Formats: sequence, C-alpha cells, structure tokens
Amino acid sequence: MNGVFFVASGALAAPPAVLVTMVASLILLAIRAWAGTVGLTLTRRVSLYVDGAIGIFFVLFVLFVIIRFKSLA
Amino acid sequence: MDRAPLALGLVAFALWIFAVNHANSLAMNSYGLVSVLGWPYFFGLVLIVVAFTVELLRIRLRPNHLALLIAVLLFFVFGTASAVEPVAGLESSFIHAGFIQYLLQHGHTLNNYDARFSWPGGFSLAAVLVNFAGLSNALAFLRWFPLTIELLYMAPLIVIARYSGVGQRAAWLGVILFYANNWIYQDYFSPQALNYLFFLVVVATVLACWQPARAEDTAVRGFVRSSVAKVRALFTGSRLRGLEARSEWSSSSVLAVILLISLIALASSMSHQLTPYVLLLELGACLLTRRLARPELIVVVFLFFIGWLSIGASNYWVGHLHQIFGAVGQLTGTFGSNVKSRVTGSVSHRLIVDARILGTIAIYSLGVIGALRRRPDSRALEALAGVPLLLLVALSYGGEGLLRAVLFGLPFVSLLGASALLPNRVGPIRAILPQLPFRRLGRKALGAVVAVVVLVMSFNTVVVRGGNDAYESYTNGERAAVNYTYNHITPGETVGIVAPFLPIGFRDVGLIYVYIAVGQGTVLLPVRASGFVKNHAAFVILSQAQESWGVNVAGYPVVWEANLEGSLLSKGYKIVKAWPTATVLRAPLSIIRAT
Repeated sequence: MNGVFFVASGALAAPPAVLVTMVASLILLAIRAWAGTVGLTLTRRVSLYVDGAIGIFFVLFVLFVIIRFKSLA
Repeated sequence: MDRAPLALGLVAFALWIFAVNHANSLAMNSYGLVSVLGWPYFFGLVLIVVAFTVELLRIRLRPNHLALLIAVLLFFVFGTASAVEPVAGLESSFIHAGFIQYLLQHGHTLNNYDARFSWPGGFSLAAVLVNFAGLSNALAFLRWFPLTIELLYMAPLIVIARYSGVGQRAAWLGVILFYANNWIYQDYFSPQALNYLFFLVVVATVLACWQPARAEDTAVRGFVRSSVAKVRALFTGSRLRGLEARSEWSSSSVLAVILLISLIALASSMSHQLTPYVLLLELGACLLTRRLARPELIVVVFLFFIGWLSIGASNYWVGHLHQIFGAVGQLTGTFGSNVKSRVTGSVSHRLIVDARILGTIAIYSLGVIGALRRRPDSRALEALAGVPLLLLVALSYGGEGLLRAVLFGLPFVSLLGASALLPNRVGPIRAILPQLPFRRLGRKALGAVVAVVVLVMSFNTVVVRGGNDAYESYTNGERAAVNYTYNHITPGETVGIVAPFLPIGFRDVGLIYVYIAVGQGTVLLPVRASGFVKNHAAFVILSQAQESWGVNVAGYPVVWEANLEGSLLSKGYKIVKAWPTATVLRAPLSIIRAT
C-alpha cells in the first residue's frame, strides 16, 4: 500500500497527503511555540529534531501541493 | 471650553442628519453622491474636523472624546451613501447575498459556479447570522454594512496606532487619516471587508504583544556602513528565530494570542483569496523588524492558506491555475490593468479617477515625509506600510490588485503621514531629515495645518468614494424591476443586462442565468440587441444605472439605451413593466424556445 502511495502521482496529489503533512507540521509548530513561550529549555539535540522534523514535513507539504497543482490543473 | 469639541461634534452630527434627510438621490448627476449633498453636510464636515483638531491639540488627551469624534466623521464619510440612497450599492453585495441564500437553502456551496464560492467562510458566517436573526435572506445587512464594518475597524486601528511606536497625538491623527483616505470601496457587504477586520486584529495583536527586546544598535558610523549593518542585522539567526522581540504579557496570555491568531488565519484562509497573502507578508515584516517573537505563526498562516487553496479551493484553480500565478513578476502589466484602464470615460469620471490617484499619492508622500522625520525605536511601521506593495509583483488579482495593496498598507501609511506633522523625537533611531522649523510656528499653526490636511483629505474621500454612485447605486425602481423579473422568470431561463450595474443576483443562484452584454473591460463593444437574442435572454432589464455607466464610463452616446430599447422592440421584445428608472422587456417565445 505504501509503495503504491509513493509511486503514484495521483495518490500524492490526493487531499489526504497534503492534509497529513499539514497537520503534522502544525503539531510540531505548536510544540515549538509552546516550548518557546513558556520558557522551556530544550536540549540542542531535541531542538534540532523538532526543527528538522518541521522542515521535512514542510518540504513534503510543499511538494505534495505542487504535485497536486501539476496533476490536476 | 472643555466640552467645546464634543459640542461641535454633536452639532456636526445634527447637521449630517439634516443633510442626509434633505438629499434627493434621484437628482444625482455624473459626479455621484456629492452632487446631492447640500451646504449643511459640508459645514458639518468642517465642524467635525475642527472639533477633532481642537481635541487632539489639548494638553491632556481624552481618548474617549477623540474616539467619539472620529466615529462622527465615520458617519460623514461612510454612512452618507447608506442614509441617502434607498438601496444598497454595488452589484457584488447582492451577489454575495445570493450566495448566502444558496447556503441557507442547500447547506453547501455550488461547485463550479463562481470562484468566490471556493472561499465560503464569510458567506457561511453570514448565513449563520441570517438564521440567527430569523431572516430569510441577507439583504437587510447590505445597506448599512459599510458604516458598521468601518466602526468595527476602529478598535484594532486604535491598538495598532497605540503600539506602532508613534507618539500619542500622532496615533490619533493616524487613525483619522486612515478614515480620511479610505476611498477604496472595499467595505461593502463582502468577505474581503470581514477579512480586513481579521487582518487589522492580527496586526494589532502582534504589535501589542511583542516589542523589540533591546534598542537597535546604531553604533556603526557612516551612512553606507550603517545601512549594510542594518540589512545584515535583519537576517541574523536570532532575529529570524524571533529572539530579538519580547513580550511583557504572561506566557499563558501569549499562548492564547498564538492560538487566536492561528484561528483567525484559518478563518481567513477559508474566506478570502488575498488576505492570507498579506498576513504572511505583514507577519514577516514584523519578524524582521523585531515585533514578532514566534516565527511559527508565519508558517502556520502559510500552511492554512496553501492547504485551503490546494484542497478546499480546488474547484477554483483546476483548469485555470495561471489566474493565480500567471502575473508573477509582470509588474508593468499589473500596473497597466490597475491604473491605466481606469483613467477612461467622461470628464466627470476622469476627474474622480484623477482625484483618487492624487489622494493616494498625497497620503503616500506624507507617509514618506513622516518616515524621514520621525525618530522611532524600530522601522516596523515602514516595513508594514511597504510590504503590501509586493502583492503587485506576486499576484494576479484582476484590476483591483493595486487598490488592495494600497488598502492593506493604508493604516501604516496613515500613521507615518501623521508622523510627518507630529513626529516623535526621542527614539533611538536617528531621523533622516533634519528638524524643520515648523514647530516654532506654534500650536495654533500646527492645529491649522492638521485641520486643513484632515479636511482636504476627508473632502476628497467624500467626493471620490461616492464618485461612481451615478451607476453603482440603485433606485427603488431598479430594485422593483429586478424583483419583478425574478417573480416572473422560469428556472433555467436567462436575464439579460447590459453591464453589471443592477441589484441582481440575490436569489435563485444556479437556477437563473444572467447574461451581461459587456463586461467592465477596457475594450467595449457597442451593445447590440442581437446579443440578447443569441443568448436567448427571456427578460432584459434596462436601467438608469446602466445608462449612466454607458455614458460616463463606456463613452456611449446619451441616447444609447433608448436606441437599444428600440432595437429590442424591433426584434420582438415587449415592454412588460416600466418604472421611472427601469424597464423590463420580455422576449417572444420564439427567442426563448430556441434554447
């Protein structure tokens, strides 16, 4: 199932792909904002993980949106 | 003496009531609303500006009095058309009422019908309000909506002014300059009017919540060196992470603010195409100028905005993606469609358009002077004023892109304009212009300058804002003609009109088709009766507003509508009902059945 998902541009263009990456990014952003606001000091490694994960999901989100635009427009 | 400004304000308000009660909208000429307003209106306008100026220059400011006087000015500038004209203006507001009625009747949007239906948030909210009020449609909201929404804008505008870094007096002057220059008619019953409120609330909240963490480093000497140092400082890691802004609010309050802004961004993404773009730009400007400590908000706005465009608004962009991204970088073309195409038509229409352009240039020029004169603690205001202009480079938004860019920058340009007259002189960033000897002239001279500037700008806005009312406002006859047509037309049939200047579209969305013989483009073809026949228009509505548009904007001869009526009669159409300002013609069955 995962294989089908990643090779078919039609699947990548489907709304759930965009939605899942968006929600994942939002959750991570919420954690980052909460930690920064309440003054919770994250270790350098945890900060890196959070920022890296946000970056990866954000890039995936943009990628899926572009694929969706290209395949449906 | 202490109560004199308030007393003047009350007299001005009484004069406004008198003036609008004695104005006859049917006597309107090609100069629009201003042509039916008598001397009490203009005398009242002078009084309210004088009252505001006296109140503004008191040693001890009284915010409640200033807010009240600004509210009275709002009646003059934004309430006059609602009070004088019997029917709400602009066809778009009626179309929006039609969308809302569709939502009320069906519980969902109509796919592939209109691009605006792909951003239904504002319509859904209005449908809830209509239901809540026990009404059957949203028409009751249309007429007084501009004044209502402008009054609502005042609260976030005052907060923006208070936390923007200008002095207290300049803040109040900036608020009134915003209203005195807001000729851009985007406050009619529409999602963009609601989203402008969202926009103001977000910016106000950000400016109130976060301030620069420390004074900007101005130790580097020399213009070039200090400029390079400032640009480099914009993109340092700590600034981009928001570490150079701080909040004095409790962490729970800040979290609530972040949640609130995120919710507003979500609502805005679902209800308007353009506002989230601007929010993105303005939040970016706040981050770079150390007025935002949580860069996550920028990413959140982006995710909601692009997420909705990608999923929720796919009905809109499937098949015409170029309409969204087609104009990227085409500044000349965008400028042409925004400005040049509008400077056409009769002498009166061109005068109105020229006055709009001059008014905009005047407030921007004043803003530039203010930016050069003031000593701020950050250049956030300049950035907030400038970034909406990036819309012109990045977006295709028909002929209204420039108007929207000016509107989104106007609150900040107005505050900078106020700083031209009342600059703050104690900020850590040095003023670029040397101190002018203006202040030596004294408080009275300053008061005179403030009063003249506010009065001239308010008068200009009164003139140009109602300048299109000869064809964008409607009479009871035109409204009755549209009602008559809706009551007699069969679902599936077509109504023909010449131009989109009629209160039509507020019911039977998707059931009745509207054929518009000419659009609002620059290349206008002569209107021929054969166009209505070819499109099987079962009814044709001819009206005073359309006639006025033809003469003043399209350049048609004065008798063009009478000629068209004659041509329609010769094709077999018959006049079925007529009012002094509108005529309804019915097609013979041979034309309708040819469908």
